[in-house]
Amino acid sequence: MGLKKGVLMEVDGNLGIVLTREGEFLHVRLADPGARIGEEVEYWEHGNLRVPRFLAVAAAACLVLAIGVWAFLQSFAARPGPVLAYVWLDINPSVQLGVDRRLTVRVAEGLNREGENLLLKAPVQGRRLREALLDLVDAAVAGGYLGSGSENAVLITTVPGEQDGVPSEIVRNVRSIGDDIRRELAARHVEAVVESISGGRELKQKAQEMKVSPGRIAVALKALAEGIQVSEEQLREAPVTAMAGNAQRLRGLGLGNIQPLQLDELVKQLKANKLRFFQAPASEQLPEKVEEPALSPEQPRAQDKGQDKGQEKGQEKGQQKKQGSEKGEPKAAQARKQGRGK
Amino acid sequence: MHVEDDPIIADCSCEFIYMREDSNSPAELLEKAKSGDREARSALIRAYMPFVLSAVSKVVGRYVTAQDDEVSVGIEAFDEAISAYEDRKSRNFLAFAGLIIRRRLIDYLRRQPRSEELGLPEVYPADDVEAFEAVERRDEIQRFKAELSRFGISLADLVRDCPKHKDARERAKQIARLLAMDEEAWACVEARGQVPISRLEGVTGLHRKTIERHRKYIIAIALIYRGEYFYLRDYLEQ
Repeated sequence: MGLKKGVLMEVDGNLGIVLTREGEFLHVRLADPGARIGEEVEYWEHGNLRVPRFLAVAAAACLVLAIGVWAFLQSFAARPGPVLAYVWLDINPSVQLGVDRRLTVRVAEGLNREGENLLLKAPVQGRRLREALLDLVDAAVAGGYLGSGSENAVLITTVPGEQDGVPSEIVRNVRSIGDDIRRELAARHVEAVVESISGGRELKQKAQEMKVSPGRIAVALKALAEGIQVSEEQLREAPVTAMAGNAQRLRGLGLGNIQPLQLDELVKQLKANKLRFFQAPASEQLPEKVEEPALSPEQPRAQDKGQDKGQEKGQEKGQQKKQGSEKGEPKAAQARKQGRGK
Repeated sequence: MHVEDDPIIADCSCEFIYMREDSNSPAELLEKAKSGDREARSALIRAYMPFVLSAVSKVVGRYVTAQDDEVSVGIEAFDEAISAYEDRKSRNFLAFAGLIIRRRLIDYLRRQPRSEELGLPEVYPADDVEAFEAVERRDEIQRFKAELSRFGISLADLVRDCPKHKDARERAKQIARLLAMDEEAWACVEARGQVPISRLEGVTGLHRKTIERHRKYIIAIALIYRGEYFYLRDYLEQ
């Protein structure tokens, strides 16, 4: 008995069907439950045993008894681990995954209709986070949410569960998964900015309060800190690249380097500037004219710098919009098209 | 190398050259080609013409023939890959060649007038052969499963149907290769989902009941040999 290799053809948890180089199709237990279809994987090979019939019957009876005892114990002991962190995937769709200490997805929900559709195409509950995120990215590519053009973005944002902070091991793992997503998209020749962000309880609470993903809030905060004007409508609807101006600017915001404490400090600093979008509850209607947020004396107004065309478009759209909406598929699709310059 | 000089390449009727019993394996041809054997190099390029056509077609987004300029670029890139590849076991050669073909094609297409209308990627594919290979294989596996389902076959069926003994499996694969090359036999499979046993029985010495028992496996392997499953086929041929 030992480890052998084959191409993974189908996967179900830690079991899979592989095709070996010898042309054998085998149902196996995977050495790495996070492996993906198409990868050459290692699996456990079982030897063939031949036993006398009576021993086989006795062994079967013992097995049935053992399974019964195990199931009885499992009913008490084998509860899913608590959700230690929430990992948000923002492509526009936006999806939230709650993971336990083993990085197994315990909770999965879409923030918008596209997010819900994405989860229907790539069910991830009970799967390992790496596999789940890569499958969701695959489904996004197949669904046209990531495709031709250079204004694609994938944000992976980690915020804590019930406790105060995110375990550092989870943050490290998510960053590593971000690298895997970059590799996957590069191998598929899809250009995208891929950023891993982590934030604390305050970011999570703000996201819950505003019903916006924490990743989008992080981008908006960093963009504002760079003097880029972001309206509440853009925060909710625009592609993240459009919030920053374009993909190159998004890359330049340095999101990947944000430490949780830095982000929390940024939230506090911008709160102190009394920016409108932090004060307005989500249910309040937008006025017909978009007011410029109050700025601290140090920050020049955006019109003095010259606004980016993408920002102008977003603000025009805001003026036309009558009500802060939750999710409108046609509007989201339009915002996506504007952001991609189609 | 000029495509128009080689009638076999121009005809593209060479899918099964390297499957013939008397031919060298791709790994052997690659080793000879790298050692300076021009015949082996030509034979390798001819053997992989369907792969080159498929790789070119994916980049340009349309059906291509050997007469297209882009295919000439693809062949030159494949030739370059033969020279540049360094792994003696020749694993991942196909993925390596696929990456080189894409890079050279993107270079070529960017130099064409109105290239901005082609929607070419701004960056080159990353030099990650394993990731590229896994992605290509995953696409093939999805197509393969869909094609299997046309014949009412699932992967779980193949686990049950696959000959467990190595010798029986080799003979079944041999039948699958023959089935893949025989258009008339394959037409029978397409029409009725049945392997034409009488046509193939005498060739390998396998009893007809054995062929019947492993019918689904034989059809599945034949699909891999017949279809555009270059990476899966390459994996089996190593």
